[in-house]
Amino acid sequence: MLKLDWNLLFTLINLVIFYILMRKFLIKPIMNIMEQRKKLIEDGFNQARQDQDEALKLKEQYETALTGARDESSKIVAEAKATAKTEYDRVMQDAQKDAAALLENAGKNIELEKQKAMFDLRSQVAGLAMEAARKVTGEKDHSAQDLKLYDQFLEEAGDYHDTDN
Amino acid sequence: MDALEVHTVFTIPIGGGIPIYESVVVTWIIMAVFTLLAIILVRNLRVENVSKKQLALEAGIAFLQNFFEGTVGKNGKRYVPYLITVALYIGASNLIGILGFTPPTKDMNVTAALGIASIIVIEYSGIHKKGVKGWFKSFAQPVPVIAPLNVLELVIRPLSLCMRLFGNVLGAFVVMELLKQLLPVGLPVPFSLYFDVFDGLIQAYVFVFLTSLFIKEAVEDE
Repeated sequence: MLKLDWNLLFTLINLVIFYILMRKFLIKPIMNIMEQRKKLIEDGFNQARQDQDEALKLKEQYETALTGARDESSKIVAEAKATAKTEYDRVMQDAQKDAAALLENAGKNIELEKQKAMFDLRSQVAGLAMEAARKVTGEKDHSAQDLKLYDQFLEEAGDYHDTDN
Repeated sequence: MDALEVHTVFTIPIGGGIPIYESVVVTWIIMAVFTLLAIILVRNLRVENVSKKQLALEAGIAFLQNFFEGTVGKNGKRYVPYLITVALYIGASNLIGILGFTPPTKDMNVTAALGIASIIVIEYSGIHKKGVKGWFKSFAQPVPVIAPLNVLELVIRPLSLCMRLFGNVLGAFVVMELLKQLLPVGLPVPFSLYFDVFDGLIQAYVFVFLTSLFIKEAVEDE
């Protein structure tokens, strides 16, 4: 019980062997496994963090792109509106101008027609008057002097009437 | 008194004959059982999809590892497997009395061997960390005056480790034997729970805890 002998050495040897056995068969494999798992988990975390960072970066890019696109589109719309407005104005002006020109033309035409009608009327009236005068006078083939005279007369009278209008 | 004696199991016929004690044989049994269990349990370890068995095993080893790493500190990490081994061995030795074996730790040869192994590891760790010169110098710290005391510690530490373990286990053994003689049925159960299980584990804990503390002291950064 209290004596020390060879068995101390045996126990020491046993202890060393036990240590080697335990390290080889129990502690090393388990620690390896735990180490591997730790690494796996850390890798997973790192991967996740990287992915997240990337996603955030992408999101930022998309957002800037989106705001850019929005600005762009609003600019385009504004530009289109402006162009449309100027075009409209121009078309309207043209139309007004055309209309005015048309109106003027129409007025001129009407005036021309009127003058023409007047002229015809006048010549007819002159003819009638000549006829009438011939009938009254009973004379035939009066000289052109007479026709001229009537014309002169009618012109004066017409002019008088025109100004009266 | 016969129960207190360490029985000789067989004798190696060399010279005058070297007796092999029960303690050494029981140690072999413990070693064999642990090694077999380790081989069987560790065989199918996986990183993912772990079984409950593996989880329990890992939890146990991780618990021991964390505990020892906490005491020896970062510098003494390499001595953790040794400490785990000693903890397993002393724990098993103290508990094996329940199964009817004689606890090996009841033999002073075993506890002395454990104490000597501890001081060897402690001093080795000091030499490994500081070099031979630094190790010699460390005896004169913190003040040179206490150098003799530090040298004495080389003997005191293993001796106290050895005697504490031996005395506790022997005392528990004696009390248990007396109780068994007094009333073999029923009465020893609660006492066995205390002396064999509780005290046995406490002693295993104290032994490895002190060893790890000494290692920590030896490998501390200056």
